[in-house]
Amino acid sequence: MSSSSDFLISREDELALHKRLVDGDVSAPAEIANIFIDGLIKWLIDNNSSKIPEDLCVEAAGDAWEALVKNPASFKPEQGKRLGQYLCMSAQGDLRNRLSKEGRRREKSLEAVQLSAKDGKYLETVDDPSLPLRIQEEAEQAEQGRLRIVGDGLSEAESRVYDLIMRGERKTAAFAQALGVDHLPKKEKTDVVNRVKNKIKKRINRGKTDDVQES
Amino acid sequence: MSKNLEHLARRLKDDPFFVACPLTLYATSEGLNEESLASRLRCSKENFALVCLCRAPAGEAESFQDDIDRMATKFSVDADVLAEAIRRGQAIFEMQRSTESAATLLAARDGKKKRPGDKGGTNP
Repeated sequence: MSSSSDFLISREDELALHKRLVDGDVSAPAEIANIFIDGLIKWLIDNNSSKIPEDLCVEAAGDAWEALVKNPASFKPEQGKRLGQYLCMSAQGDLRNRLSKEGRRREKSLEAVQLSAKDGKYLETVDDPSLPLRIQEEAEQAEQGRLRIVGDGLSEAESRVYDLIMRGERKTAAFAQALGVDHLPKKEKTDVVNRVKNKIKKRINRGKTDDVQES
Repeated sequence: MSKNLEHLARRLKDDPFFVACPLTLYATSEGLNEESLASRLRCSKENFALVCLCRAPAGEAESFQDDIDRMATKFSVDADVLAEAIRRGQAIFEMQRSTESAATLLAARDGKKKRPGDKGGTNP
């Protein structure tokens, strides 16, 4: 399960196994663990900061498995998601919870050190394992916020162009189609596309400048 | 066989939802470690971990024996020993729980008792 889309059993086998879990088959939890747990742990390790302790990934994978076997209906195959994907998402959430808890625990022990010893030399030795994930999340949130600001006020066609830019599209034909001007003569079409692209690029650059000014 | 499964099995030893819990209590009552319990169940260490990850069958359920047979067949375990171990482990768990509840009740009753000099109390 190097990515959540690597499927370890066929969809049919997966559905049958999940049904057995729902029906209360006592051996189904063990079979699910046997199939998924190693890949799930590997996926967590590969998809998170290397600074996150491996044992937290092991525990988070266990949390996700345990939550599924105790509440099999939480996985809804009719929504189209595969069991491996579901477990990865669930385990990622569990890892986040464990990191938050660990961060709070460390903060408390820090407070205790400050209160009892009044000795700041311990402060520098603390390495909060939740920090990499928090930074990653904050960066993602900031990026999403900035992109939302850029996208505000664009027409539907301009929004499509904006999406294409964000996806790295470079062909004028693709932009012309998104703007609904692919029937125009080449020169005119290129002008319209360039005008819209420039408008959006200016907004993106303005967003970046705002970020720098804010920070 | 993954060490992760063995680790997972160990972390479930206090959770009566899983077979790991009654098997651990049974092993303790018999003075067995994991390896000797696996040996008594006539299974490999690997399959022992998988049995621990199974959902515990309800001791009073009609399906108890069917559940035991299913696990025994799937993971090549001695069904009779498994049934005995799970039944005993579940009984020990219930006893421990009722002892803890009784202790809690006693502590609560002692806390409510009024001292002889207290006003208004009619409790014995």
